Amino acid sequence: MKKNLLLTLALLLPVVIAGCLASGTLVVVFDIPKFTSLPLSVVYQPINLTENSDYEDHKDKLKSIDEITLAGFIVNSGSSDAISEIWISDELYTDTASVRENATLVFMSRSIPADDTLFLHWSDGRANMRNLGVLEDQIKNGGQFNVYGIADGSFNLEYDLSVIISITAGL
Amino acid sequence: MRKTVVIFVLLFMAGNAQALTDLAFGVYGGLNAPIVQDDTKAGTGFGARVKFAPSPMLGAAAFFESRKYGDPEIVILQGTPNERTEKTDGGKVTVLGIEGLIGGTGGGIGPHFYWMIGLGKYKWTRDGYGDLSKVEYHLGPGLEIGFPSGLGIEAKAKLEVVPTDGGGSRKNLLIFVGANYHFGLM
Repeated sequence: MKKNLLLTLALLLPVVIAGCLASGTLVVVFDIPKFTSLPLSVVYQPINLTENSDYEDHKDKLKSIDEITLAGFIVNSGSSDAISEIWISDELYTDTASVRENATLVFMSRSIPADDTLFLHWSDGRANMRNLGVLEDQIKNGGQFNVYGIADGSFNLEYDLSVIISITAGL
Repeated sequence: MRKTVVIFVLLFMAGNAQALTDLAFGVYGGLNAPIVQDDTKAGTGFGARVKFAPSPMLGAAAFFESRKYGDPEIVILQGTPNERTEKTDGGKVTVLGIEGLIGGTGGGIGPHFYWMIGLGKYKWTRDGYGDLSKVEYHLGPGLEIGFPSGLGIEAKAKLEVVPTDGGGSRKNLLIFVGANYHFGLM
């Protein structure tokens, strides 16, 4: 009986291993070009993950997206506190109302005091992420979209961020 | 050369002949090395194992391991004035498992080489992340050298595979050294 159990385990294990051994977990870091956003001139920043060689090399062999987060600086150069929101869309918008109406919110910061800088560590960003499913879909489907940074009321926000994506992919 | 091989084989046989049925308890520690996992780094681990060998060549064991990964690092905003090196929590892993042993499993004086194959409940916990709870499978060799006192020192290596959602897996190389005490039932 024990021999049979061991034999079964010995036969099953290579099948399990062969099915998933040829995969690895990679951390893709995509630096978003620095941009400043104001209420009357909401700036979109196009993202093209295919410019990242790690993503480009593995996008067709994606097995899972394990983490998406942001790290870097958000500078509030405005005269009042601001909660920064980051939205994404395939379309182009130039005002906050259109962004809120049509795009998808993916990040919301804590309140950033006027004339202050928020630094997001790798380990911090995750708690602020929203609608990760939509982001995952964008990453799985070509990795090209637009990023918007906005806030309530009058704002003057400067973004210098990296997108950090952990993926499991075939090697 | 031939003489050396004969001595080596005799040593193995001598060890296995010492105890027909054996119960042993052991503790061990060592290296926990992720394979192709950029979101973790190598760390350490320790464990405890109870082994029962009803015959000198066949055994079964239950074990518990507590391991940690090192904190991974990345560079963000590379090539800009704001470039930074960032790290996040590598996390801790606990595994409660069972394994089958084939080879020199019975304890006794001398070297005992064996193979182990098994599975366990793998739980990976990281600060700020959800837990990952999966079944792990492992396979690897071990070598124990037994002493007359019933104590044995052991080195073992395991390739661990943890299948994850989507058809991928996490893989680790585990290298442990430790000590066992053999109660030697017969």
